[in-house]
Amino acid sequence: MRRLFQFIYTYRAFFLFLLLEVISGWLVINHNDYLSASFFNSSNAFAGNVYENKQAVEDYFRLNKINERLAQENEALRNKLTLEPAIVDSSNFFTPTALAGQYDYTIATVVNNSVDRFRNYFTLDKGEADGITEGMGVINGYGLIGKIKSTSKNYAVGYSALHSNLLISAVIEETKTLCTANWDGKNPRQISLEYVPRHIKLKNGMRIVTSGFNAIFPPGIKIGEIASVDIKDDATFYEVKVDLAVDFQSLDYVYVIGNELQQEQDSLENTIKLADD
Amino acid sequence: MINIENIKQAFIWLLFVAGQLLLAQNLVLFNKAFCFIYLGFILLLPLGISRINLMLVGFFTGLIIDIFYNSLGTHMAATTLLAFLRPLWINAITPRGGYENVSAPALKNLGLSWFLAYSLPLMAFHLLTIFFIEAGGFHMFIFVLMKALASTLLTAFVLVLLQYLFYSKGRYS
Repeated sequence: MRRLFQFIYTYRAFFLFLLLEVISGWLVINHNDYLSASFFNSSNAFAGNVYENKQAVEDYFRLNKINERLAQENEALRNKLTLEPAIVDSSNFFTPTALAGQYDYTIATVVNNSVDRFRNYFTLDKGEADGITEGMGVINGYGLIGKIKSTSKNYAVGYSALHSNLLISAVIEETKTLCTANWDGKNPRQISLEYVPRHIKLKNGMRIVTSGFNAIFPPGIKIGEIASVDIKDDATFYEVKVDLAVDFQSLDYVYVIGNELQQEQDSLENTIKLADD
Repeated sequence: MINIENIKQAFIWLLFVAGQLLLAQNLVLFNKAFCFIYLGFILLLPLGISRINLMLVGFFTGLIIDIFYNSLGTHMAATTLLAFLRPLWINAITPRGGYENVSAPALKNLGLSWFLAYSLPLMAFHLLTIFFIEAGGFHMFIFVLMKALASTLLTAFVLVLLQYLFYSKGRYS
């Protein structure tokens, strides 16, 4: 026994090294679990605060651009508003009251963001205190941005669409084909589209939007436009690259989408899953 | 435990980590070359530090960087590895005169060519670890390799520049 302790003591540096590596390896593997849920990432109060102050300084250099963008978005929305009554005749059908206000939007500022890693995240300056919870969708005026990963009282961290593990349920607007958008980790301006079967006729410039099937995003949020289409002779699915609608390199204000009926949809779908088993 | 040298190192640590999080984090060239100057702190620590302390410092530094980078575990593993390899590599490349009268493995003490021979392989190892953990495997092998090499060169360049700017007293060769 004494010899054993002596052995460990002689090689203590190596054993400490092993211990620390095992701890870090375990953290890498269990990264999404409860332990790291909100404390060990940039949604914790201290890190969020540092990033918020950093952003406050950077804002001085880009306020002009942000103003212009928000004004344009306003213009587009106002134009849409004037068109609306002509298309929808509300006397003919009836919307359940619960659905009328199904989605609610909270505005937040992106205080930190990355685009060049394999797993990119963004930090927002709003958290639980403003009603943001895990799993909500995030968009801006141009299109889809990502999904909230974890929250603290005043900050939230989200997976950006440029996260190689995030799968987004999408449809090709023209053909109504359901497919999956996923980032391959290389170009921050493009995302790949998977599971588009080869009988669909694709051409460049087709719009890709969210499907609305997973209760996170409303249907019809723009993801991007097809940039290139490729298929191998023996492949079942196309290899499609999509130009992203959002410029991830300059995110400023975003909307976090709360779905009032998410719980209802999820529990209903769960009962069906249980019945199938 | 608390003496002038430790306080000085704590201050330098703060500068390196703050520099990493507020400035160097945004410095990315061609979507490939990243700047990880915080490893300059581990590389430039005095020679007298014990291996245990060195690894604990590396582990803690990695943890702080990870919290801000939302990549829990990645930088911890890589920086601990760097701290483990540092004494071995320093012994392996002992210059002719040995390390007498040398307080830290810095450019001003041992010259540019020695410093590059010391820092480049260690950094390359560290960055390869980071990028392969981040990529989650060895697919995209060439892409990750290019990323790590480009980042090593950029980080080494910035680190040498910093030493010429701020550690300016001493001899150069």
